[in-house]
Amino acid sequence: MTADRRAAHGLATALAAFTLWAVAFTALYVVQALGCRYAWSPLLHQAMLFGVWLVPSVALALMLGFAWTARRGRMARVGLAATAAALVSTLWTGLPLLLASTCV
Amino acid sequence: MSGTPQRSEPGASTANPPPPGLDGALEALWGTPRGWGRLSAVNHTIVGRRFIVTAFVFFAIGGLLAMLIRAQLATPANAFLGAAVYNQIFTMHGTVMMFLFAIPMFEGLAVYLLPKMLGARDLAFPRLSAYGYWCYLFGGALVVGSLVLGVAPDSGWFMYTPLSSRPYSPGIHADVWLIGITFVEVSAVAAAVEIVVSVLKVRAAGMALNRMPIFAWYLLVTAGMMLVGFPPLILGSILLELERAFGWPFFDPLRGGDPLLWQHLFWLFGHPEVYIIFLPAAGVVSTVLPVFARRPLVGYSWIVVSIIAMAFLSFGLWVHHMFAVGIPHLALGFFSAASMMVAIPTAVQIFAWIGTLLRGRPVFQLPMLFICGFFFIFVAGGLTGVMLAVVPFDWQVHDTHFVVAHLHYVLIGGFLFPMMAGAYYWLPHFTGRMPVHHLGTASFWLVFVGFNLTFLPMHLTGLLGMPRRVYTYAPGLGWDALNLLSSVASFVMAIGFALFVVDIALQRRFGRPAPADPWGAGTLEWAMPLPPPSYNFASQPAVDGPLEPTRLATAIMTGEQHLGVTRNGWRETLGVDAATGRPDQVLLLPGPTFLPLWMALATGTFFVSALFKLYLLSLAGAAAVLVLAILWLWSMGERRDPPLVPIGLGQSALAGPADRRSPLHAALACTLVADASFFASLAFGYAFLWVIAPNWPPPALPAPSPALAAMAAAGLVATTLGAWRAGRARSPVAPLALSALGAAVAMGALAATIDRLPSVSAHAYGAASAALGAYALFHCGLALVAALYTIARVRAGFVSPVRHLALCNTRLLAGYAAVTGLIVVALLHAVPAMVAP
Amino acid sequence: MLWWWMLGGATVILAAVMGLLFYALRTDTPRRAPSTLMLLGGAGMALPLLVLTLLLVFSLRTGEALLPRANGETPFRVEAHARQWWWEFIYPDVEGRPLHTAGELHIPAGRAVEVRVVAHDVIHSFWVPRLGGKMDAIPGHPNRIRLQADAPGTYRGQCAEFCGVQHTFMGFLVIAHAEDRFGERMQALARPPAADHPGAADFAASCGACHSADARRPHGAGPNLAGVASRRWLGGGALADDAPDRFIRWIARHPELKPGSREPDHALLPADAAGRIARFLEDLR
Repeated sequence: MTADRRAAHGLATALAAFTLWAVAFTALYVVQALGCRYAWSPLLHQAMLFGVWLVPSVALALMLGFAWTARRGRMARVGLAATAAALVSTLWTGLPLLLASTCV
Repeated sequence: MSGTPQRSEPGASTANPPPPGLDGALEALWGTPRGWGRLSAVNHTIVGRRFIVTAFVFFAIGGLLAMLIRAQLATPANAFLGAAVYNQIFTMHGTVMMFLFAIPMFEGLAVYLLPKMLGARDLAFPRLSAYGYWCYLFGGALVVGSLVLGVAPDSGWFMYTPLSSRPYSPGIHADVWLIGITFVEVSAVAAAVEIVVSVLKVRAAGMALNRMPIFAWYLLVTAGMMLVGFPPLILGSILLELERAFGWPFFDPLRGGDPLLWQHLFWLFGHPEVYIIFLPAAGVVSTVLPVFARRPLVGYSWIVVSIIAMAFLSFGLWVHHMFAVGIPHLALGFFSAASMMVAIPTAVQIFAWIGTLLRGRPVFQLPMLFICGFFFIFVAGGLTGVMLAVVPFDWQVHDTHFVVAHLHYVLIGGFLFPMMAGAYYWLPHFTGRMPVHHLGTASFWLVFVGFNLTFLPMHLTGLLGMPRRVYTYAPGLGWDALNLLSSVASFVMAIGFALFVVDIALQRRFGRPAPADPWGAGTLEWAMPLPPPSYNFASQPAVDGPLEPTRLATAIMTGEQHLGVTRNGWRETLGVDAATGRPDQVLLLPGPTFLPLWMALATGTFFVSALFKLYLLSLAGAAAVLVLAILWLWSMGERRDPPLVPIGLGQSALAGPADRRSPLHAALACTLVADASFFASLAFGYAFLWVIAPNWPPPALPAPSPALAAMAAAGLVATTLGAWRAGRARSPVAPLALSALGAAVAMGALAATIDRLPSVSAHAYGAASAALGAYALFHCGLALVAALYTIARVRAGFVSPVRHLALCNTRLLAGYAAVTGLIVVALLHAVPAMVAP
Repeated sequence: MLWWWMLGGATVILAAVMGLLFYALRTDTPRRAPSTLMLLGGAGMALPLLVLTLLLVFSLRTGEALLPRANGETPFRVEAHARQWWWEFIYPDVEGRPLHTAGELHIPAGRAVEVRVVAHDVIHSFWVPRLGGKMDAIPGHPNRIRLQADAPGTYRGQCAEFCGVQHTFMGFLVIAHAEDRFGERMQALARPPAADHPGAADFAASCGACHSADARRPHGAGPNLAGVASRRWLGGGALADDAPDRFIRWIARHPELKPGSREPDHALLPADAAGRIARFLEDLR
């Protein structure tokens, strides 16, 4: 990849990673609300919640791997760091799943 | 407001005299006429200054309102203002400070500084900034004018429904807010588009993304946030105004609406708003602090990542304003976690600033004093912010004076102190004179001590149970002394601000002339004579290393760099590839024109007539806006293919290419991002009402009509296919005609769909569906106009195989209309069919 | 508890950051600068992440403990109905139920109380600072909040969400009684007013359109006045003394005491009728 493609790519990676965080975050909130509103079985509800938490996390972990192999140049490293930050953010914002009541 | 900036004073610059005539020739091209002609100004230096001065006037008004609030609360059972007036005053204080001061102030700073920092001669769309300014001025005047007439908004700056709905807020108060603030938001969205495109496309040659001054990064991210963050509020305001004016029950729980929908839409805007205000101020700190640390900023890339992270995370906080509305604990947990998380990118920036000081050899000058004040107040406010993210703690102090204290620590600490540091730092740039030191120091201490004595006690009054927004309180609850202290100290703070104003006036009058680059800065705005000439740079620098104004100034002023020429009466500035900063075109910018003013007046006609319920006049205003917009667009572009012109330093580039590289294409993309945010908010609202609102499902659903759905879908597909084909066909006219026809068919089908909906005022289902339908109808209308306009452009000879910008833009717009239109068709036809028994 | 930890922690962090800032600003001594990774990765990220994780866990656990959920013990149930600008309290479970009253909420001390919070016009918020957090009253969304007074006493309550002109005077009092006293209070509340009272007819004629004086027979748009003589406040705190002439003062002067309230002006009421009504109210114990 040429230097200019790498720079644009780094910025795109950063935006994509955090967009994925936003998707995960929104999905958690939506699934929580739908499950409570339509009284899904607790097991299904929990499974869905963990799914929308962990699937984007795994996707971000894969993205992190790709970003690691392409970390040449300042903007590419920005992309790498942003992917790591988005992964940590996704794991972190899902933490309440382990501690808080779902529908009370 | 002064007109054309003066030429530099003798001895104020270190440059050699420029080649005879170049300065004069550039000034003749870029200058603004005097007298009434000043109203036609589009130059970013002038428009930026107007934004800043106007915002400061609104700041003074907001401050005056704050003084009234503190006077009323100074003693218990005070009868100074009375409940009704007090409610108007606290509502207006918040509204003025947020919408008419903080946002426009940084917009002004951005408009003034960005091109100079990026080594450009103006922003990408000078007329758009001028239009934004007029919208801001007229909208702001409308909102503040209502205060004089005693009909100011009085439901709080957050305008919660149903308090702000017609039954509980009769009269014009709430309409002033909804319509006036939406008018001002037009300017904010315009500024956001302007900033994003300018940062990406209008820079000096060789200024790659990762070489941009960090301030440009901050503004790029902030403007991106504005594109996504403001549309939910604009949508909310439109829906609430529809409810107030025409009885569409979006927020009325008896008819399937939900007051919580307003809270979601408002805070979806409202929390990112706080970071939209903070980030530019942090950008000022990141710019000013390294100059006085005598060392480049530590951790540039870390900061870039931090601000991107902050921008995203800040959209995951909005529900922390709603912890007490009865949302399940898990959902609160997500938002609590995100609210805590956002502290981390903030901490990274704080430590990057400290690290810069540690590595450097700091010199302590006036701006640094304000930055130290910023550190103390902002860190304290950030810590109380983390406390508020703790759900059980928030349940206790929510809506008390603790929150009042917190938000003033964050906003005054996080915005005002950096802005005052920036004011002292850039004043030599604005005025060409150096600060008169001692008054500034006194002003700092008065503001700093006054601030802390005003707001530190408020934490305590809040913890002692004093709620927000009460106009008085009973004696003997332990609140008396604390409130009196707050009130007295707030006047100390006000005196500090008055001293700041006096100091600036004195500096303008008596300050000694500023030398070139007085602070030894590291950004290009100092590589020009002070105060700056209308064209900024006699030639635009080629950036290949650190930005050292003193090193670059001579070559810039002698015209040896890029575009150190005048030709064809063009106002030229370089356009670059977004990532690398390689020049890819010469942009030809428009000169002074009254068009933005007329456009703003037409926009104002639309809004003000709607306020007074003169809807026919309002429609006339909208039609005038459309006509002016078409004239505006028509004036751009050429009937001949762009020539290759030399740009200096042995390079050449196309002058004004009309293709995908044009900033107009990027601007349309940015506008569609904002539009998509608007649409997503509307779709969210529709889904939210189905899932959460009481009194659903609706009593009546429309009977399914596969024929109408198919007709709308076919029209939409034809619209986008036609527009897409137009770029490839030998003659674009026939495919464009197909596109227009498709749009017209889709409009007909959508109108019939809306017509079949149950009554819009009986249940929120009808209202929300009609809103979705109207959205799609409007965008099909736009696609229709765009296709017809492009046919006219083709006929008039503006389009050729290399000048296909109009085709690109039409394709983008038609594609957007088709995608959103198909979603709307699905929501209007498929959802009721699925739900119906 | 949580608060003191947070205050302590915040003070330490603020002091540390400011100390570091002043150290960084000193130019007279050579300063040691840690590496960027240490400073930004360590102090800027790792450290706050650690502190915030602890805080998040602690905060969610505390929050869980406060939730109104079935956990064996049956709470005492009351309803709080918010209107511009007063609180109606309904006891669905006591003898003679349901009992309607306004302005004062009586609860048994030492027992969990579950308040169902309902709004009838705009958004309000139920808040008793010393007994726990707040819960918004939102039209269309009844909410529940649980609170408990460990000791008998009087606790101030307040509407915490801005709700219009008289948001300020939308206060109420929570009075926690020992278990036996609580029953007495409820019995007194359930007692109907004396029909042969000299002011009864005037009250019915002049006030009866909006007010009931019988906790078991609510009617009208105004607060139920059963037991009003034992209330410490009138008008949600707008008249917060219990001087003997307070009813006559309220009848005569309420438009200035609580401007904007929905209660009509009583200027046309003859003075002798007003006096009889005031005495009627004084006897509603």
